Amino acid sequence: MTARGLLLDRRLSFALRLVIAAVLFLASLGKLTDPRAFTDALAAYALLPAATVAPVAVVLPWIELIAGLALVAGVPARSAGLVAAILAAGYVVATAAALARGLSISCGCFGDAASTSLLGWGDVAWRVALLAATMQVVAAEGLLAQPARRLLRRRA
Amino acid sequence: MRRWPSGGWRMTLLLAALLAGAAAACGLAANALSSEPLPLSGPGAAFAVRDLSLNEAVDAHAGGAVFIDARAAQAYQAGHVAGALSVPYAGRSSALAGLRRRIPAGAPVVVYCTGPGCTAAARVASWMAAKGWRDVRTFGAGYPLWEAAGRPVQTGAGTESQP
Repeated sequence: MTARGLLLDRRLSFALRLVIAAVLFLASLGKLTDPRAFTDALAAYALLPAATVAPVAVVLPWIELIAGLALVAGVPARSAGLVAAILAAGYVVATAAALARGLSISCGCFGDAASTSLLGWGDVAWRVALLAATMQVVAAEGLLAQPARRLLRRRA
Repeated sequence: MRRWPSGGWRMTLLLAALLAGAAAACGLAANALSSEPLPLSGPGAAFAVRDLSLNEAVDAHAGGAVFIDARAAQAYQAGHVAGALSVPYAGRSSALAGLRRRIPAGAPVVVYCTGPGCTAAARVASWMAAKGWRDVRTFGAGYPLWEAAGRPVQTGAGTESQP
C-alpha cells in the first residue's frame, strides 16, 4: 500500500482512534484521581506561567477524557483527532523542552504520583509516535467516522 | 482510492473548539464541586511552596522546624533527618490525624525526599499547605545532601507520624 493510501486508510484510522483513546483515557484518569499531584508535576516542567498552571491542570485531564470519548464514538471524528493532535504536539514540546533544559523531573503523564522514574528521550519518542497517529486520524477521517460495522465488512 | 477529504475544515475547527470548550467547562465545574478544590490562583495555589537551600534547612532544623520525610517507609527506616516524621506521599491521608496532633498549624515545616528529580516532597508540602499548615517549605536537595553534609541523622522507625 502506498504511503498516501495508508495515510487515508480508514481501517487504520479506526484502529489508531482506539489506541489513542486508550492512551488518553489512562492519562486523564490518572490525573483526575489526584489533581494536586498533577498540578505539581505540571509546575515542575517550568513551561507555563505560574498563574496558568492550576487552571491548565484542572482542564487538561477533561480535554483528554472527552477527546478520547469522541475518538471512540467517531463523532466528530476529525475534530477529536485534531484535539488529540494538539495535545500530542503539546506533550512533545513539553517533554523535549524539559529534557533540553536538563530538568530531571518525573513525567506526570498518567498521574504517576508515586513514580520516581525520570523523564527520558524515550518518552519524547513515544509522544512523537502518538502525534503521528493523531495526524493519520485527522487526514483519514471525515467529520463523522464510518461505522465500525461497515469497515469490518469491507475487510471480509 | 479515496480522495483527500475536501472542505469541511471550518466545521472541523468549530467542533474541535466546541469539544475543548465543553471539556474545559466540565473541568472547571468538577473542580468547583470537588471536596478538595484546587485554588486556581492566589497564594494557596499548589506551586507556591518555597524551596530551602542546605544552609537554610540546617538553620530551620536548629530552629526547631518540623522535618517531614516524604520518601517510602523503608527509606525512612534506613536513615532520615534527625527528628523527622515519616509521611510517604501515598500514605499521606492516613497520616493526617497524627500530623494534626503533633504539628501546630503555624509551626515551621520542612518536607524533603530523595533530592532533585523526586517530587514527593513538593507534593506532600502542597498537600500540607492545602490542609491548613501555613509555614511549609521544601528542602529539594533532600536526604542525600543532608547526609553527605554530615548533618544529624537517625535510623529506625522511631518517630513515624502514624498512630
